[in-house]
Amino acid sequence: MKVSLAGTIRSIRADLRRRAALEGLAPGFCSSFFTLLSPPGMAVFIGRWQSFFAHHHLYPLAKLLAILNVVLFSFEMGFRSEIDEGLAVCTPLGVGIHNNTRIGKNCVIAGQVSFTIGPRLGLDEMKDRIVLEDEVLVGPGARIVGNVVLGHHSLVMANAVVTSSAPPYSLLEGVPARVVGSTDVARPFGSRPDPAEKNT
Amino acid sequence: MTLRRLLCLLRDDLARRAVIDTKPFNWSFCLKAIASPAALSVALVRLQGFLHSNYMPPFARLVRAVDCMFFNVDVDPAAEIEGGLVFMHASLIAITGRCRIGRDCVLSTKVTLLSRWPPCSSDPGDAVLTLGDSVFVGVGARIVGPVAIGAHCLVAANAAVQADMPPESLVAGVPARAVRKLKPAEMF
Repeated sequence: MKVSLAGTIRSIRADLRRRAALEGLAPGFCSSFFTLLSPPGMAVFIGRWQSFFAHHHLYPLAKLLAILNVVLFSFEMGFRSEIDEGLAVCTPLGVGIHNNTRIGKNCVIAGQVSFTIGPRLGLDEMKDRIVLEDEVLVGPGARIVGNVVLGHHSLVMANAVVTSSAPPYSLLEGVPARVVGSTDVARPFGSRPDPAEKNT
Repeated sequence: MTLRRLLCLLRDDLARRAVIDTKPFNWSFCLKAIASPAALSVALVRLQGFLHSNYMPPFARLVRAVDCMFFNVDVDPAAEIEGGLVFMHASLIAITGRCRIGRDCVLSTKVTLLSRWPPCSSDPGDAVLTLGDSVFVGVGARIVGPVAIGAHCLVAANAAVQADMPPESLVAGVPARAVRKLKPAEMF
């Protein structure tokens, strides 16, 4: 993924619009500015610049921003993680995103979510990847561990421990997480699921 | 919220903390308590509520940011919190969205109250998360969605509460259910 200056700015704008929608504010310059001043908006904003600097080989700056994010908001984001535009966090506290994570467009992450690949349990920290497709919602306190692909429009409920992949539109719940239903019932934030696509 | 009400709330919080610490409630205790991160973060929550209700939302946001940076306590300024709130330890507590918290509630660390989960794009204003009086929320418990937790409930550690709970019950599990009624001696 190429992280250009224009791409970073576009991502930040999309993030802020998404965050404003999450707070129930009308889209616009004012609401974007105010969400930027709140901790969730600021943490993602710093994270974007951190990956921008890392992709342009300005590692000291990227590291500095990473440390700043952890010190201020306890929001730890690996700067090699690939995050598409439109990421919103409900609260940045205690969120950890591993370097090998790929997050699709318009995902929502609540507080205290971890994306981890430990060196134990047969996982390979260098090769394994965590992939979230578009519009995935991850609930507060959920842990996503290891080589996992979550299909688009999936919904992870609070305190779930996800250790295996899930198809699109799945509703995950429990420890360890199982697919207990479809998100068509739960009505995800943003665009409604397309019924034609769901049948295939 | 008037200044008098703010001071009353601060006094109630400290009095509740004195009860939990089983110490006499006096000036000496107040000074010692306010120097601890847990009580100081509650005081900042009260201050931001005061600023928010007195037409100073930018300052409330500033206090929220300070609380978030220093103590990892992220509380929405619009949350309606009655007197006697106690944080067991000030770390990783998030109260976001529209929440209404009753009297004498105790929150442990890593607790998240989130009034809208999953986030629906329609009618965002209606969802209200309600905690009754004297609810104890254990370590790592997450309460999500517009649910109502009854008075005197005990939410066990790491419970993920997604539905309404009757009063005076022990709530545990992922997803959580009311396991049993609490005995009067167990009530907080």
